[in-house]
Amino acid sequence: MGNLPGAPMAYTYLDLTFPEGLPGLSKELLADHLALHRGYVDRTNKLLEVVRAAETEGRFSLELKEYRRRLGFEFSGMRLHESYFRMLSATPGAPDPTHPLQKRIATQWGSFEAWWKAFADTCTMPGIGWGTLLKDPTNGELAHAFLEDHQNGVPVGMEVVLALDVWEHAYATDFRPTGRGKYVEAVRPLIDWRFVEAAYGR
Amino acid sequence: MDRRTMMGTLAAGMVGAGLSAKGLGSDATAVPKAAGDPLADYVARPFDFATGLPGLSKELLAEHLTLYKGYVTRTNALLKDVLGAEKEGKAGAMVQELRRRLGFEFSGMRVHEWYFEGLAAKAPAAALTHPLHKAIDATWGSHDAWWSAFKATCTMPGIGWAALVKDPVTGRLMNAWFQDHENAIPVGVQPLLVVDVWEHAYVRDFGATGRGKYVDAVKPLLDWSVVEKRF
Ligand SMILES: [Fe+2]
Ligand SMILES: [Fe+2]
Repeated sequence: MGNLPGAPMAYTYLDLTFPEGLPGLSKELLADHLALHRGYVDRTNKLLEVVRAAETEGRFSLELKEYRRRLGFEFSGMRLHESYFRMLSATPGAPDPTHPLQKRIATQWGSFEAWWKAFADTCTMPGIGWGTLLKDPTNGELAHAFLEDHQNGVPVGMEVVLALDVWEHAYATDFRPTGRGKYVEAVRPLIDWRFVEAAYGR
Repeated sequence: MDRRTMMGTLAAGMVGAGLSAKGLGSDATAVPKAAGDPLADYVARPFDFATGLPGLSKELLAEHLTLYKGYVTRTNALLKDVLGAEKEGKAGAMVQELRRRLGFEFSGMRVHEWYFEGLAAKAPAAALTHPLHKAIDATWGSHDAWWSAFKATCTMPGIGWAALVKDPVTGRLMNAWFQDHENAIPVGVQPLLVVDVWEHAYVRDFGATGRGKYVDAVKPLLDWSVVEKRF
């Protein structure tokens, strides 16, 4: 069937290229990584359209059920990478101690350094996934979670404030497969706290 | 603002609270902890199904609410344990595994709240002029076509939740399957309607093979005013 008025639009690629790389992350690694992201966008669009067409036409099958399950992987892969790439900057804003996010970090962990240590520990969880700092929108509480792959182990209803990709493609080119800890420390000075603080809100 | 700019702007806060602050995603389902204390415990919501709901027995609902309270208790304990360990600078396997469990416990708490909140003995029907229903029509063609697809999502083999979700960045609607509570999740979407299809939600009243009958029984209990507010 054709598109109805108001029918969903396709998702688009990120308008980021990092042509010079970022301090501490090579342009080759970043170019490959952005190419992976485009794959998630393409597959999410394809998947959503295939599922919607089948659902609209009432073709309920085992395949459709599995496509729906796969939505978690593709959509989350797309969305988390957007959060990650937009958080990285060659000229990042420093943490603003007057921002509610920084105050909340201080309330919960005592200090920014104590918080970072816990976040880095989340990021060095064995296995592939994402180290994340999350916010419960109902009360502003922060928590760390390791999202397995992209879509598993997710505290549903919490919002992503900061997401750090720790799949091997995110670091092995520059830091070797055993260098995840070094990669996490290399990303630290690239975190644009204006972006992260905006994600937390007020 | 063109779409790309919108994506850029919204993607910034898209999985973040910036969105709610901009009014693009209101959290009508907010379950406040004690206001003012950021580290106060979550409090189990007082859902009252003492007389049951038409089509669901009070015994089933009472047990279900007991299970829900278990999630609240364990979420509180877990958050306290993890934060306590983190503040002491503990790192490594023990803390990492506690953190992994947060997905199960927290999601189990929150999705049950969305589910119970959306059930009513005298549920208001869908207000078909509401933008949610226009979006459903634009996506699936009709409310009936959407319901068939949602019911098919509810009958996914395995335990979990069927969810009608909205991408707050674009407004797109999707049916999604949450495995257990915390897996196969499209991260960053807003649940509008969730239906519990763990076996405890229906076996007592409908038998182990009665999931389809249970979903039909839940349909007239869905409080569309709640779903519309979440949209
Ligand atoms: Fe990645
Ligand atoms: Fe349940």
